[in-house]
Amino acid sequence: MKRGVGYALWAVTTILFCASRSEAQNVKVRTLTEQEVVDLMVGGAIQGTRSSDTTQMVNRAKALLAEGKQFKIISVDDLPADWTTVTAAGGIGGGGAWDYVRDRTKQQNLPSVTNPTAIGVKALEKHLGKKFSAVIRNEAAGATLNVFEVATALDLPVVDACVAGRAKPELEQTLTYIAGVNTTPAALVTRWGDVMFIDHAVDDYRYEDLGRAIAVASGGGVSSIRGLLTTEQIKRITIHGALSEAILFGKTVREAKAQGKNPIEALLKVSGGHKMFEGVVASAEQSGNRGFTWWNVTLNGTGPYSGHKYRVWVKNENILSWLDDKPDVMSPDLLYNLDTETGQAHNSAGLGSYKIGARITMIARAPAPAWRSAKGIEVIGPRHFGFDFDYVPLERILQTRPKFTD
Amino acid sequence: MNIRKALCATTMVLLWTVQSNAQSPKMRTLTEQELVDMMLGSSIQASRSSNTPQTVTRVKQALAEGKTFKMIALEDLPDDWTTLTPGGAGGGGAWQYVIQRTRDQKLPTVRDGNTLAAQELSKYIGKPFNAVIRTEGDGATINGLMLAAELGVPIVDGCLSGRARPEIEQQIPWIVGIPSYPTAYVTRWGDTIILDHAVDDYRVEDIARAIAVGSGGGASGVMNPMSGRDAKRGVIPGSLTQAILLGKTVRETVAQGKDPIPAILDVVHGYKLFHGIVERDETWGDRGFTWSNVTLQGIKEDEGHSYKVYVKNENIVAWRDGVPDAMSPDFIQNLEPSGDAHNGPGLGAYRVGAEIIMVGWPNDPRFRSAKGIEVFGPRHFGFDFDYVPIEQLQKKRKN
Repeated sequence: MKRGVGYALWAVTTILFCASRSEAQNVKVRTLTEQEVVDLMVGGAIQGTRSSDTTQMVNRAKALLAEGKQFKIISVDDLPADWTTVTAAGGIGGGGAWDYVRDRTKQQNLPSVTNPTAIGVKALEKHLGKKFSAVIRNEAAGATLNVFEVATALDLPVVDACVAGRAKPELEQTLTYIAGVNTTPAALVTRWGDVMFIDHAVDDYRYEDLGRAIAVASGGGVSSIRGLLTTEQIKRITIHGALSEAILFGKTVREAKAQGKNPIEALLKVSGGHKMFEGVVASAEQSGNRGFTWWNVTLNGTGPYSGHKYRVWVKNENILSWLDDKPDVMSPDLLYNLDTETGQAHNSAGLGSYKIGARITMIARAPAPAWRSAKGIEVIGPRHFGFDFDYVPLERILQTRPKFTD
Repeated sequence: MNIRKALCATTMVLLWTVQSNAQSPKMRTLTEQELVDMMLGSSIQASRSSNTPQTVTRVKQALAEGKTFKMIALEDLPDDWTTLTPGGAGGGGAWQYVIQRTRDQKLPTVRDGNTLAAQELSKYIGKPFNAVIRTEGDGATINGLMLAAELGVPIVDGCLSGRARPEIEQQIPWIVGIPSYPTAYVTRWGDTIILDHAVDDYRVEDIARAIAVGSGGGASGVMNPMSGRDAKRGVIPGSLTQAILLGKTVRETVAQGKDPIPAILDVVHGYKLFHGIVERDETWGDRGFTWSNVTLQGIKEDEGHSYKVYVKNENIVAWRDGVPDAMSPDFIQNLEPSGDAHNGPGLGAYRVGAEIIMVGWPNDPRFRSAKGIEVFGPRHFGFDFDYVPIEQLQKKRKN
C-alpha cells in the first residue's frame, strides 16, 4: 500500500517534470546568427527616425556575442497564450539634467550599477508577484540593442514585434496607449540603483511626466520597465515582425553596398518608402531642457534637389519636415535621415542631431495603421507638438509635391 | 494532568498577551486651546515665513468636524510600533506644460493625498501604522495632525528636524543612519509612486523634488516608516510641547500688553538678532525650491545697521553688516512684532516694508555633529565658510 503511494508520487512527479520540459521545448525560440545580429542593429537604427551611432550598437552587440550571450527571438504567432511580456528597453532621457545632482554624485563617487533595466525587471517581478517570460522592444534605434542587453542578462527571448515601430520622444506615444492599455504598473531604476515603482499613473502622459522628471533628477536618464502585456494584447496591438524587418533593412543596405548598388534605392524597394530629399546639412540649431533635445535642421539640396531647401523639426526624433517652406512629411509618418553613402542611419553625436556638412537622404514611409487613428494623431501628430496645422498623410503629400527625377 | 497544566499555562500566556496589548500606551487628547497654541508655536519654530491664521483655521475646522487629536510622548512609544511621517515635496519652478496639459485635459484631482500615500506605503510594507511623527516646523504640524486623525492614531511629541528645512536628508534619522525610504507619493491627480530603495537620502530628496516639479508643483507623500525603537534615537523629543508652550507664551504675553519677543527667547533660550524693515527681497523658483535674498535696514536699537538673509525655502544664513550672524542647522526665525512668524508672500519670501525681528537659537546637538553639519551647514549650500554655532557667533558679537 505504502509502496503504491510512493509509485504514484513518483509517477506524478515524472509527469509534471516531463510536462514542464515539454512545454519549454514546445516554445519556438530562434537564436540569431552573428550576421543577423549585425543586420538587426543596422536596421534597428534605420527604423529609428533619427540619428544613431550604428557602429557603437554593432560593437556592443558583438561584445555580448563574444561573452557567449545568445540573441533569442520568438515570433508573435509562437507566443504561448499564458505568457506575460514586459516592455523593458530604452530608458527615459533627461536633457537639461540638474547639474547639482551630477556634481554631488560625482563628488560622492557614487558607484553605478550594471544593467539597471535588468534590476528593474527583477524588482517589478517581485513587487507584483509575477513572472515575465519575454521582453518586447519599446521603440527602434538604440532600444534595439538595449532590449537584447536586458533579455540576454535575464536569459529571456525578445518578441519579434515592437510597440512603436519607430523611435518617439514621449512615453505615451505607443500603440499600447493608443489601444487603451496603460503602461503602469512600472519600475524605474536609476544609474545608481535607486528603485521606484509607479503603481498607478492616471494616464501615460503622467507616466511620461514622472519618468522624465526623475530622469532629469538622475543625471539625465532612468531605466523604465513597464507595459506588461498578455499574449492576446501583443497579438492585437503591436507591430508584428518588427525585428525581422530590421534584419531585412540591415541586410538590404549591406548587400547593396557589397554589390556596388545604391543602398538607398534597395532600401526603398524593400520598405515601400519614398525618397523625399537629398542634400547637405547646412545648419542644426539645438534647444534642450526638461528631458528632451530639440533641433531645427536645414538641408541644402544636391543633385536633382539642387536649389531646394529642406527643413526638419526634431524633438529627439524627426517629427516634421518642410520642402521649400511647404509642410512635407508629418509624424506619425516615418521620416528617416540616412547617410546617402551607406544607407545607414545618419551618425551624429547628440540625440536627434545632424552633423553640419553631412550628406543626407531623407526617406519617408507610412506607419502602422493604428498610428493614423484619431488617438494616434492626437498623441504624435503635428498639433501635439504645438503646430497649428492638421496631419496630412504622406500619400496625399506625394500627390501635390513637385516631382524630382534622380 | 500534563495536558491540563499546559492548557492552563497557554491560557495564562494568552491572557497576558491580550492584556498587555489592550493596555494601550499613555497618550492624551489635545484641547482646542492647545492646538491653536501649537499652530502659532509651530510657525515660530519654522525658520521661515508662515501663515498661522491658515493653520489655525484648518485645525479649528477639523475640530468642528468632530476630529480628535491625540499625542503620545516619545518615551512612551512602544518599541514594536511602526511610525510614519508625512513627507511631501514642494516644487518651485514646476513644469508649466504639465500644468497646462492637465488643465486642458480637465484631469480630476484627488483629496487627502497623504492618507492615500499612507495606505499605499502600509500595503507595501505589509504593516499598519501606529503613530505619526512631524517632519519639521510650520505647516508640517497640521499635516501630521490631520494624517494622524485620518488614520486614527496619535501624533508623537517630537520632530525629525525641529525647524523646517529645504531638503529631505536634513533630518535626524538620516544623520543617525536611519534612511527615509521606502516612501510613497501621491500626486494631486492620484498617480501613486513607491520609492522602494534609494542609495541615500540625497537621492530621496532628488526624486521627491522631481516628482513635485513634474506634477504641477508638489506631491503628497509619506516617508520614514520607523519602529518605535528607531524613533527613540532618530527623533527630537518634545517639539510639540514646545510649540504649545511658545503659542501659549505669545498669547498670554500679548494679552498682558507686554512684548512677546523676550518671552519667546526665554522659552527657546535664544537670541534677538536684528530689528529692521525689509528693504529688498529677490525671490526666484527653480527645480523644486524657492530662493530669496533678503535685505533688512535696522530700526530702533539696530538703526544704521543692515541685515541679509539667504533663503532656500527657509532661512539658511544671516549676516549682520556683512558678518555671518547665524546659520543653519540652527534656528533663524523672522518674527513680526506680534510674536507670530512673518506672514510673507509665498514660501520663504519676505514682504518689502514689513517690520521684522530676527531671532535665533541652537538646534539639536545631533544636527551639530559632523554629518549634521555636512547635510545642513553653510558649505552644503555652497558657502565657503565653516559652521559656527549661534552661541559663539553671538558671544563674539557682544564682545
